[in-house]
Amino acid sequence: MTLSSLAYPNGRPMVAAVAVRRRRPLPAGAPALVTAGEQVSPGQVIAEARGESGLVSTLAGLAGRVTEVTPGQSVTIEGVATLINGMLGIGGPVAGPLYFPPRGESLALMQAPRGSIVVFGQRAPLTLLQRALASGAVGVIAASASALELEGFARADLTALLDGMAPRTTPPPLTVLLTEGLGDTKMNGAILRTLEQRVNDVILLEGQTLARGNVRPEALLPLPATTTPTALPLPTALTIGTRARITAGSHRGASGRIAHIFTQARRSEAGQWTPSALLRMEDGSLVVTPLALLDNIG
Amino acid sequence: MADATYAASRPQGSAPRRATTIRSLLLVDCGSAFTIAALIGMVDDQPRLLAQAQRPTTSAPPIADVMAGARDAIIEIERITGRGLLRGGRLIAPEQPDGAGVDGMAMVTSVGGPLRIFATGPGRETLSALLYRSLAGLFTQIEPLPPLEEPPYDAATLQAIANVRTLAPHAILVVGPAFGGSRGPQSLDASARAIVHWLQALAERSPAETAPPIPAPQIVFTGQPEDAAQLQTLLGGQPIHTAQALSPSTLTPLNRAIGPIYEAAALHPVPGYDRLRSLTATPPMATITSLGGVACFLAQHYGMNVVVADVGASSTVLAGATAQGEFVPGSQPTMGVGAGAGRLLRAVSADHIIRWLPFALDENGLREYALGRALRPHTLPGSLFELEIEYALAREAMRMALYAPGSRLSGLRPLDVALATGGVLANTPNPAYAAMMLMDALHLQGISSLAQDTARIASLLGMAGVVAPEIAGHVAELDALAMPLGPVVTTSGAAQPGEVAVYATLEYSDGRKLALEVAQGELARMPLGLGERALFTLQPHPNVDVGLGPGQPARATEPIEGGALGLVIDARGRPLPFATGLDERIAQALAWRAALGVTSDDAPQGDGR
Repeated sequence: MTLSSLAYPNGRPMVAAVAVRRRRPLPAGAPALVTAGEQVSPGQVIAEARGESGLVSTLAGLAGRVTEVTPGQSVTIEGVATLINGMLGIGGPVAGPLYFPPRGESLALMQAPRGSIVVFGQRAPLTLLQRALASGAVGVIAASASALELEGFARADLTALLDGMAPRTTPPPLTVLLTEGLGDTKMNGAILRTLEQRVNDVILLEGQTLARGNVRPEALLPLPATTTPTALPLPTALTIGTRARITAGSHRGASGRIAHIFTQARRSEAGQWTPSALLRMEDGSLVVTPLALLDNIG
Repeated sequence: MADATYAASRPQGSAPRRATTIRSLLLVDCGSAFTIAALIGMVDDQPRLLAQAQRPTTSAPPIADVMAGARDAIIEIERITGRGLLRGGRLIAPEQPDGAGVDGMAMVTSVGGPLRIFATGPGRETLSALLYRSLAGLFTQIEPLPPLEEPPYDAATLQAIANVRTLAPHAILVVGPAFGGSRGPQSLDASARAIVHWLQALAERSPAETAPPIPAPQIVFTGQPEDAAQLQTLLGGQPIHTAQALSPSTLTPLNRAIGPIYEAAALHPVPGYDRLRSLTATPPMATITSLGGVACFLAQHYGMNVVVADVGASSTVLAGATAQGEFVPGSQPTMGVGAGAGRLLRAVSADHIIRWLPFALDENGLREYALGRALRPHTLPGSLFELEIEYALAREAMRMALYAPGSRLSGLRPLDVALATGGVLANTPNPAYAAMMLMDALHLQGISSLAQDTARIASLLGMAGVVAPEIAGHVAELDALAMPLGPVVTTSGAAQPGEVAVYATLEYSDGRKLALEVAQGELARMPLGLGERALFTLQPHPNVDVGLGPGQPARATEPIEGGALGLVIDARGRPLPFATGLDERIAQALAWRAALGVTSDDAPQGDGR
């Protein structure tokens, strides 16, 4: 009996190296500062425009080659990056350096560098989002958040956003990516470690999330062009030996390796009969869990 | 023996059709979240369900190919039965001497979502009841087409355009003026102008847009021929589908004009659909249409009014049918407990959902669960708490379907049989959960019988009935009604709280007698097991009605048969008297569960968080 893990568009929440091609929209009418065929670095300014708050710079966000320039509209770049898909996000594409708030410092006092992307490995309180915005950050990557707080911050109904009914006039004030989604869950350890290794590096963040078509927010952590990318999508099957994370129930957020897949349905914690697996958890314990509650984390 | 004859379904390019006798059928239900395959074959010369398997539907990345999920489900059937069904990606048909293959295949689906129709025209409002009746049984989402003038547009209009673009209408339906009636506030001219502006607005793309363009919606007109000609002229010769004007006696022409658009517009764009479709020569049926077939069959077979309830991830269907076989549907094509949970939350207040829960939960907790389910349509409730939230959503989704625009289901009296099917209603930890959802959401009154389709095949049998009617009939009766939950007496009217609402007696076939007083506001049950039969009498309070009028007693002339829950007496009254305080409401919800035998192992205890 085999089932697939289908929550993420690439089969996993994180792919170490992937070939990407992304279109970077430019501020209305802003001239591109790069040309097609040119190599760019993530922190390189590819366009500048004068806005209400002064000069607005658009960073490349990726290391790679410019493949297309549409004057005044967009620059398309292709390169290689580590791809992190979140479960839920808001906001459009932004680029900036990763910033971790100092441990022990009150979030109410956080002062993120202007243009940065704040990383928080736990549930993001409203204060964090507000401070990030007030200090000029362009994005936040957090583990999770409260639904009502995120809706209040974004001034949008998330149910409508997920259905594609984004308000045109009031875009989210920040781009936000929640790796685990709504609720109170800590960030997947592997993703947090990867982000920590890239502190101060400029990355590309996109928050758009749609239920239809499994569109998920993404963070692209640029890699040297010489890196060999992995072919996508990755295998999604949940088989014996697969590293998996439990997404609901009393073990939500815990991960382990599939030790056995039952041929007959088992009764779940919710009392339903469903195809299930035996997971050997990281602490060595064994847990029986429905296959439908597992994410393949590779 | 219940064989049937039909023209064998064969993949395109294979040998010509020939008449054959059907002894085995593969049924596939490709839903928005899960794909179910079921194998029907002969057991002791009776057609029976041999095996059923469910796998996630694979319609979006990382596996954007619905054939993959369907193949997985069919392979699981092969594993369970040891019978080969596929060879080289093709269905083995007809059934081979060695037992491999099947004689036919039938498919139902809701994977592409409903056919999204934007309605306009001078008759749209006056003929809306007929419009809904005409399209009953089709998987459609009908929205009014907002008025649209020439550009430039203000912010509100641009938002409206963006919203319509997101919905990506498959068709624009122009309802002509009612025959002999007023031509309404919106003339055909104005409708045509609005359509032209909408077609332009939907086709326009800003350079920054990355999403693929949406196909131009098809135009359908129902009305008088001269109005059709006028509309075509006004639209500059654009092709339009026309159907006879709507009237109580001409509901079918519009249905027939819209029906064929469904497969072309809603199903063909689904990745992998064409390969899945090639497995069978018989066109697939929308799930609601198939469920309607089952409801009509059961209603006619038993001579009773029937409703089949199916709450899915994206849509909710109540397929009702009268004893005369009239189809009376009520559906919410975009509301469910998965991807459809968001739309349900936008339509129903959080309080209405939370009131069903036997624990404390705030609006934030509800939204986090519902949004999480929308983002993970293939998942299941992870705990009893989550299960209860899912069932609360299901109750409200059914209530929204019951009172959906155009639905006449709330007026269907008496509702003799209610069948729970689908992943939410048919896979409950305890049959009492299914019974409670039906009792809470449907407008039951008097005496009804509840059943649970634990095999989850009812949605497939309407389509199977097209391919092999006798086989489908047998399986519907023997396997889809596999779990009788028991008879339910639902009282209306009200005695004073604490007064006896109903005095019930059961006289078993072995001579035993049992009597029970059920107080107003209570839920109770009397033992009457599966296969057990008893005569009953009901003596209601003078202000209480058990289906025959206030105070009128009821006495069965024929013994009734029990079910998993026995005989249930629901004297809670309607509308349900929800306690107002939180602690009282929780105690009430737990008491209702306990009355139906939901034990502490099955019911969540403590705080929902």
